[in-house]
Amino acid sequence: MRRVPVVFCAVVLLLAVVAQVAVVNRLGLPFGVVPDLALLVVVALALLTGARSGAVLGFAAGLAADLMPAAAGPLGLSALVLCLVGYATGRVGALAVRSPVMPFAVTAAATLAAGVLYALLGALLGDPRIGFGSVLHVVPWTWLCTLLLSPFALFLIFTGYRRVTGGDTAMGW
Amino acid sequence: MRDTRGTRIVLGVLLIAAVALVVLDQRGGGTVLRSAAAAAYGPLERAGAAVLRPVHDVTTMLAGAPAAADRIAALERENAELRAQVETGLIDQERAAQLDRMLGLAGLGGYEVVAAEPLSLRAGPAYADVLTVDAGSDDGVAPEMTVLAAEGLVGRVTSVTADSATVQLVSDATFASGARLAGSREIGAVHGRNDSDQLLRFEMLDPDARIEVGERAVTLGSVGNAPFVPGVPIGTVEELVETPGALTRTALIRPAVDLSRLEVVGIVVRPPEEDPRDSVLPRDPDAPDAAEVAGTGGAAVPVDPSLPVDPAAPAPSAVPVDPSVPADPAVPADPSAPADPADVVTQQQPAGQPVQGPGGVG
Repeated sequence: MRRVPVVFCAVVLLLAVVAQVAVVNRLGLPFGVVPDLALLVVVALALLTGARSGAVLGFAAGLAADLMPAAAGPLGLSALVLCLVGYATGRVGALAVRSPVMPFAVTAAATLAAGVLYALLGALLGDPRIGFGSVLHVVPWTWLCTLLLSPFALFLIFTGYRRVTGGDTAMGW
Repeated sequence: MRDTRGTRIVLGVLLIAAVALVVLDQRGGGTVLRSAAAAAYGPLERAGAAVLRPVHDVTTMLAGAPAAADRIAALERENAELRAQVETGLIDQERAAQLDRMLGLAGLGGYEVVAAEPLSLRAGPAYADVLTVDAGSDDGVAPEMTVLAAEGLVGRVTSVTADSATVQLVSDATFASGARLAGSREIGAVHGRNDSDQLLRFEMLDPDARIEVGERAVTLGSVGNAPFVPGVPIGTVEELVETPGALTRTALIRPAVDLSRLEVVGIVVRPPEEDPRDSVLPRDPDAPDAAEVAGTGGAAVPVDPSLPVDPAAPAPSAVPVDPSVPADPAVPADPSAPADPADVVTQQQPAGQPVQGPGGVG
């Protein structure tokens, strides 16, 4: 079993949450959506470290997102969604991380899945804000926004991970 | 693929914990966690706001570059005008008037407000239209207070920490407030719609209510003035929705405030002594329309009070320095000569009000 660099993961996650609260949420981007940094970090770290830590990191990141001051969704819903996404990403991680293109495909799929899953579960829980119109607006734009950031985020996290663990990603970076 | 028993147990435990949190929150148990988290996130938001303000300024500057040339020309003109005003020693009056406008409706409606700046605009999945502001319980802010901007209603405070507060915007889908059409007695409820067009839904209790595009809605006010104080402008009717057979009539309302560009908001910490009725609304841009609306109220007399407005109308053109001032009934400040036109402006104001007043009541 590969050893998971716990401190590295925690630091990256913390940085992502800080950046989300202090910077990204303040940007006032068009269409009223923001990229989801926590999701990007969870996907990247789950790709690198596997399903178990993916699930744990997803839960932690989701909880942090749920507790952000301006978040009004049900508490625990993002934790549930990101936990599942982290686990699923970790399952395909070992395969994907060897290829230069696969991580982006996985990130795209995971981001879309997370958006759809959140909307579905939110609608099931009876959140009156989630309707057909708002989902069609929020999910695609958030997805696009997050994807645009993913090359930078993945590059930074993969490089950092290689430095910390001594080179294991074999992504050619 | 290593997916051991341990991994599945971890996943199961975490999923159960997440579901437990969701259930707990649905039953109202998440408040403690949320307020603890808000205390931790507050300093972060504040730091981000401080660091990002210059960046924000630069990006707005770049975005506005094409329009900047026009703006420079306009500013140069304005500069010359201001220079002239300094010479006449009236600059202080003008500044006072601007401050008055910046505090918005507060003085007009008799609201006592705490000014605050937005900290974050959106968070997480953007289904909720919520923002956080940098005033909290230390400033006298409490949940269920009305939040307004210079143009009208922004939303209500949902929760506070010592130095920040969370505000639910009017456009949020769970937002609801009592509303009244200006000038008439038609009342109803305004709901947010969470739609990209940012319109609000206004449902009138009276299915036969006469309502026209361009009419304006103000808050009805809540019992005990929480969460809504009366008389705050909400917006303008933009579209009527035909709902045959429905018990209520529905209209779509364009919010008075541009919610995507909030720079300063005011939180009403003390409600007005008495309902300001329609006095907070800005003067209708086209006066004949206002007379017409008043006329539909049934009385023929209110049309006459609209006539004295016309002699007053040349007043703006007679005062070349600042045409925007007469448009604001709250600012009887007189930009040019000290004595004479001041009389014109103050006369104009009482003449303007009966147009809406008696017409609506009748």
